[in-house]
Amino acid sequence: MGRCLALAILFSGLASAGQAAEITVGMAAADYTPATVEARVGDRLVFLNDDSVDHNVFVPTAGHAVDLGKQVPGARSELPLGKAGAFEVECVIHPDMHLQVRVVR
Amino acid sequence: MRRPISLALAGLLLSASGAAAGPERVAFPAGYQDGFVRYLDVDRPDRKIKRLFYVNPAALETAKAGDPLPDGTVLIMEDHPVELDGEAPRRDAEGRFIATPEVTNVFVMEKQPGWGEAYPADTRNGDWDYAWFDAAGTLKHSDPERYAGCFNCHQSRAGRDFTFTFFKYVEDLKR
Ligand SMILES: [Cu+2]
Repeated sequence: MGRCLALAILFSGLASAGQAAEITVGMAAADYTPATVEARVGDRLVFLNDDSVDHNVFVPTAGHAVDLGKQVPGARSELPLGKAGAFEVECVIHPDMHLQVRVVR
Repeated sequence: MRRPISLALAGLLLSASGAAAGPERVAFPAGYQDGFVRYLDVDRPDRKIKRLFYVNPAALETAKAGDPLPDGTVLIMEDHPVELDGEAPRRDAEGRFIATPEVTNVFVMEKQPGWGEAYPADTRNGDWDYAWFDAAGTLKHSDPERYAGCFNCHQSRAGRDFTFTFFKYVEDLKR
């Protein structure tokens, strides 16, 4: 009973928090910054190449996989988060560039 | 009498499998849509395509997490245009693209013992070779020069046996 109430409050809190967030991820010095992201379904990641070389946004995780292609310095790309779960983002060009993303309902 | 015949046969087989390095020695995996395992779908918004990835079942079965992939591994990347809503790709309930049945490219990478020996060290991708087919299995390009981009890009994943997705898939699945 108490748990149900707590859940109801939690969900109404989420609903009133409501609006989808836009979370910006930078790429300076060949690092995704921040290196971990917690987001909600409906949020959007915006990748900004604030570095001086080309980068890329590639998700190899099954069920979430996407390739946003090459991103030149100054370019932005967007990744809408339509599905709950955890996935990794990598740069096709730089194998050590990693970002961990967790998406909850 | 039997011996010369089998020797001649062996010679034939050798010449068949000993084709020059490059796309010509990668056979089109006819029937892969039924006989292979589809292990991954990758949405590609900038090209409005969805790429379906397949592997031969024997490789999926014997691959071990973190180990180099088995000899005989065949990986396929199949391009499909996606359904559109006007200009924008249509998305399913989970935000994923929806592939149309049309197949525009079939890219194959195959690993066989010794295949990499033909390539200089700075180009070599282990024992992998690459081929680019149309949906009917006809090579789109037979000139090995056209495959420099494959070798170049996959080199960045030397730590995953030169694959972007399958090595990681095996790690995620079996570790
Ligand atoms: Cu990069």
